[in-house]
Amino acid sequence: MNVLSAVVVLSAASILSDAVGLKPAVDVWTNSAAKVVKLYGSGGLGRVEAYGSGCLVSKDGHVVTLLAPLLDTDELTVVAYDGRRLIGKFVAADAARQIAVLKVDADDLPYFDLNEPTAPQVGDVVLAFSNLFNVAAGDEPVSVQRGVLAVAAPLGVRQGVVDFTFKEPVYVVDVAANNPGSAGGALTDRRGRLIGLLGKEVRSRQTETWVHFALPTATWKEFVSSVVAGTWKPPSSPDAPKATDAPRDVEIPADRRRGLILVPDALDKTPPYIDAVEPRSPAAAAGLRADDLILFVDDVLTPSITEFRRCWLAAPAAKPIRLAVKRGDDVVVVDVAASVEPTGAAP
Amino acid sequence: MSCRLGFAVALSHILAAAAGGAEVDELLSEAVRKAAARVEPCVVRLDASGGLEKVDAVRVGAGLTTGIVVASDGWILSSAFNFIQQPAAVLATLPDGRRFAAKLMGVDRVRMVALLKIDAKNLPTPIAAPAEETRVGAWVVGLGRGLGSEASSLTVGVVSALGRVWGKAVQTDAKISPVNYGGPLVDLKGRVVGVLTALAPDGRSETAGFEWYDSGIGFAIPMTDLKEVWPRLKNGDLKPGVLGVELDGASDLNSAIPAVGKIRWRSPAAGAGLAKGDRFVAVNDRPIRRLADFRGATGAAYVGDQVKIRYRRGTTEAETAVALVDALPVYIPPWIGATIDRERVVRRLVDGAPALTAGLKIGDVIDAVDGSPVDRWAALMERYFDRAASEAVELTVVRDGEKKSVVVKTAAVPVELPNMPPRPSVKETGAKNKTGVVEKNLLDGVKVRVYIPDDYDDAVPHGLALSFGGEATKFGGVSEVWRKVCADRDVLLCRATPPKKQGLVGKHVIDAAVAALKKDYSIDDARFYVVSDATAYGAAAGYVAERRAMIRGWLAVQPERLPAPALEPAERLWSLVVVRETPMEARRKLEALVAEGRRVGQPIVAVLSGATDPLEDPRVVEMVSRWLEASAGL
Repeated sequence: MNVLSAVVVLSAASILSDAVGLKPAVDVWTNSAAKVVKLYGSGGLGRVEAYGSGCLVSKDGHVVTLLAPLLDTDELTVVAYDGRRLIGKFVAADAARQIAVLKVDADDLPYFDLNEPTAPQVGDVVLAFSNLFNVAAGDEPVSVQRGVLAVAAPLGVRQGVVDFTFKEPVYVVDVAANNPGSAGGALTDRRGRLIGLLGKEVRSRQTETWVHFALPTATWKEFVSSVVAGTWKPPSSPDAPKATDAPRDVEIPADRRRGLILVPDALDKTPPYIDAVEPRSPAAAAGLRADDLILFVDDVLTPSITEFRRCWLAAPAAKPIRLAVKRGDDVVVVDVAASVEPTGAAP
Repeated sequence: MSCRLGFAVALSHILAAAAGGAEVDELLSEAVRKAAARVEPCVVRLDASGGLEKVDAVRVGAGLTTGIVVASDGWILSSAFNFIQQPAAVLATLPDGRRFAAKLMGVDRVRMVALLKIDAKNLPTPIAAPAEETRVGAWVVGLGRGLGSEASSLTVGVVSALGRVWGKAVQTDAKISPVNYGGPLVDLKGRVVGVLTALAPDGRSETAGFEWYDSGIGFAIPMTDLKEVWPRLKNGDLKPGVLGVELDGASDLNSAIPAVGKIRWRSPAAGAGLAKGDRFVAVNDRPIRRLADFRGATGAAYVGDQVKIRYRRGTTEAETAVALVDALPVYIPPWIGATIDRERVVRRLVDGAPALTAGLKIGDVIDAVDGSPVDRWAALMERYFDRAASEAVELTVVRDGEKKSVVVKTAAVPVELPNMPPRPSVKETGAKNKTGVVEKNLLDGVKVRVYIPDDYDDAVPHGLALSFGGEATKFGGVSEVWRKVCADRDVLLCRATPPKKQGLVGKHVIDAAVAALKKDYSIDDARFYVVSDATAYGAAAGYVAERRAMIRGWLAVQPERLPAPALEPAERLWSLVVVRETPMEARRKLEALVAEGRRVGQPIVAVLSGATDPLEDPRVVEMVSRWLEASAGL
């Protein structure tokens, strides 16, 4: 095909699509990319990048991104799609969800309308927009990647890699969207609606692989909208919410064992086998026996004694705990009471 | 090009450009959801409890994974990767929420899938996509439960290739990882194309292929193949079958199929009558033109599978059938404690050794081995060594003009070397050669220095010890102890030097030296030794590995390891290892070496030395002397 016919074809395509009211794919892509900004701040040492991404969410220049060391500076540079360099001012943060709102002094930038309704479904084609690896280093828009919404699920993340405090389900995608510089970028549906903010790089505890995901817009929309509207008030207590996880690798105190004695924790992942059951204890009353293998504590899988202790200690002390145990080839579900009602009968 | 055709091309581009919008993606998403929904009732969440945290340096997940129901009475297929951590228990959760303890029935180490059984009935089963309807470029969906979600997670891609990894797998660019290993790869009609798993063309480790997770290179084992395989897994693991052939210089997969270079001892190939030099024509009626064809035809077969082999020998073609085995037997060389010369005459017998006990006598002439006449020494060797230690050998001997049969039960090579007196020097009239240190310059600049014992006689074939590094064999001044060893055991000590310190002593330099020496001296081909000190380990190891079929023994000081652990009857390597008494670490290493040698059938004699130069330690030299004598015999 020669150059002339190529031009004819392209213009014909836009005429046709205008005529039938279809939005050509390319428009959705460029329009969305223009709503994503590149952030440059502090960092740059080791694995802490000094660059990142953010999404414009108001006509007044509000930018949503994730809390990250790069924001910890007085001179945060925000670069718009057209290469404009603006100063980003920190406005507010939701520490529990790690969401930050910044503001730039510009009122003519395109932005994602948070009030546009979205209902993403698993299997939908999705687009990820971000400054991954700082590839878009010059006066240029961010990169776009295409994938599928894989699942909406809470993420079990390996401790110690990053401080991951997000408790709600996230949107997992089947494209490698979470890379250095991606966090805070946009995940949109095929019509350019913002369905989530791209997350940080984390490894899944379930699979020990890098997992790619976005924090759903619905989970942080209220907070950001109140910041944009100027109605948001910082929480009265200056302390950030504390993680409620019970400490790991802690022996269960005798008064909380409910009569359950496990095998010694000798291996990397010792399976939580019951070694013995104290007579006349709640565990005994529930019918638990030595050699039962505990599979679930209150419906949470406990593949090792470490996990078991964590779940056991996290359960309310005054309420029954539901255990699923493997006994021979059967799975038995029992409730272990907080304390036994006295039966009066002595053995 | 006609005007009309040009217009048609332009129109198709317009349509493509317009249709590239959101609507096409939405149609695809809808189709993906429908396809996934059809299979979803058959996708099982598997939770493993306990087990290893790391396998092959790969950190494996918490034990949450995916399976697919293949039979309504509770049979579930998953990926072998999901069970490498050897979980203590596996729990299956059906899409309707019911939970069952799952039993791991068998793991397929070729296709890397696993079969599990739960005690359930009337489970929904998926429809398999017919193999011929799976085409490259078709949309496919991968389903998995590895993230612990209520419903499966989805990944969408296309079929990238068929018949990958030696014909075993469908390749897809969907994102395949522990999130969906064990789950189904589904076509847009909702039929199962295959079971997703980690696979690598050259990988034999349990985690092979994992490094490609989420890369756009993923594999599924076709459901049509698994239909034949999974019932076999009810009876336990399936392992790759071993044929036991090594092809000559086989490395380039696209090269024409090379000839058989080696038939492994007592392998299925040997049993089927295959021989060195044969060329494969077809395997299971699949023509073999390239090495890749051969790998493909044999790589997917299991232990116990019958493989039909058509091969060419010379100008004729023949066919044979072979049952593949799990592993080849370890060859442990036999030992009877008798020295037999080139004329097949028994010359020496070790006290208390099997040959003497069985009634073999000095002067007997070996006429046949196991009933087969051996008129040449080489034939005798070949017959004799074609057995492992502890198996009997029947020797037919001529004694006082009469034939007698002596059955000797062979033993393993002794760890304690017998103390045998020096060989009586032959006072015959062989032409005397120059003795002492002789230096020779070969054509290509190679220098050979050789020590010839004073009582050298052309009538007696001598052993040849090739020295690498080796201060012990200080040429110009071969020490007294070494002179005695050379004289007692009829051995020449030789060292080759490359031209102008060109670097290491390469195998060609040594080969040239050997050839030159053979012209001037009477040398016994069956008694080549390599002698190396600690500094020359690398060069010596390389030479031994390369020429191990012609080397009888290797004297190694502080070796890092020994090459060629598994021996074959044609390889008679019998090593003497010298290790310094201190530190303890070195001793422990030696113990490990000897144990490894015992495991793979390689005889190793171990000696400890406290001397700064162990090769000059009289105790070591005494052992060397015994070793040279013992290894001269059978």
